[in-house]
Amino acid sequence: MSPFTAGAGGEVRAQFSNFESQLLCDLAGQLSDLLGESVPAPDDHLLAIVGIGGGESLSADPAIARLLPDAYADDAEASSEFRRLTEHSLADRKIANSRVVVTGLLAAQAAEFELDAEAQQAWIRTLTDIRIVLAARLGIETDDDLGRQDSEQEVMMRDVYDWLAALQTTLLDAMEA
Amino acid sequence: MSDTLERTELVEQQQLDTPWVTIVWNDPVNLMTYVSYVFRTYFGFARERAEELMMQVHENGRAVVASGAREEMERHVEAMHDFGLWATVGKE
Repeated sequence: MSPFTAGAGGEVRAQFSNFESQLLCDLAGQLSDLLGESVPAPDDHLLAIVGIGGGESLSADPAIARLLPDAYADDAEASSEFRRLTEHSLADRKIANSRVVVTGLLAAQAAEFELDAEAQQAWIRTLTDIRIVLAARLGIETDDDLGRQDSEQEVMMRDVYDWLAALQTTLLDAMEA
Repeated sequence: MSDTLERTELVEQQQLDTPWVTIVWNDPVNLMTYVSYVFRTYFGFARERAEELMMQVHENGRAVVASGAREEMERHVEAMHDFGLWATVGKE
C-alpha cells in the first residue's frame, strides 16, 4: 500500500508504520541538526531577525556544500556575497521543512494524517534534502553510482536512499493526482 | 577621451545585451520526475517544455532555464536551492 494517497480536495493523506515513522523522524532530525550546526546564527541580532546572514564560502562537508551550494559557478566573490546575505535563511527554511515532517509524524502516532499544500512542499523538499545528505555520505557522484557499499551500514543507507526515492515518487503522484 | 567614453559605452551596452541566466546542473540524486515537476510548478513551463529541459539537464549535464535581470536570476537560483536542485547564476 502506498504511504501517500490523493484526497478529494487536493490534500494528500499519509500513513506510516511505527518503524517507518521513527526512521523518517530520525533522518529529518539529523538533517535539521546538521544544518543548524553548519550555519550558526548571525552575530548581529537585527540581521538575524530579518534572516540575513551566512558564511563566506562553500562548506568543506560535501553534504552541506550540496544543500547550500554556491550561487555562481565561476565567480567566487559573487558567490560569497550572495551566501553572506542568503545562506542563513535558506538553511532556516530547510530546517523548518524538516520540522513539519517530524511534528506531523509525531502527532499522527502511526495513524493516517493529512498534508495540506504547504505540508506537501515541506515533505517533498525534506525527502530531497535527506537524499542529498545520504548521497554525499555514500559518495554517490554519478547517475548510475551505487555509492560505497563496504559496510553493513552503507548497504542499509543505500536501501533507505532508494526507499526515500520511492516515497518521493508516490508523494509526487498523490500531489498531482 | 571621447574614444575611451565610446568604448566604455560599448562595453556597457554589450553587458546589457548579454542577459543573466539561471542554469540547472545535473546531479545524481534528484529524480527526473521531480526535476520536471519543479520546472512546471515553479517556472510555469508546460509539461512538454519542462520534460525537454529536464532531459537537457540529464543528458547535457546542464540547462538554461531562465534569463533576465541578475536579481531575478538570483531569486530563481535561491528557489532552486530550496527545492534541492543544483543551480547557479551565470552569463551565456
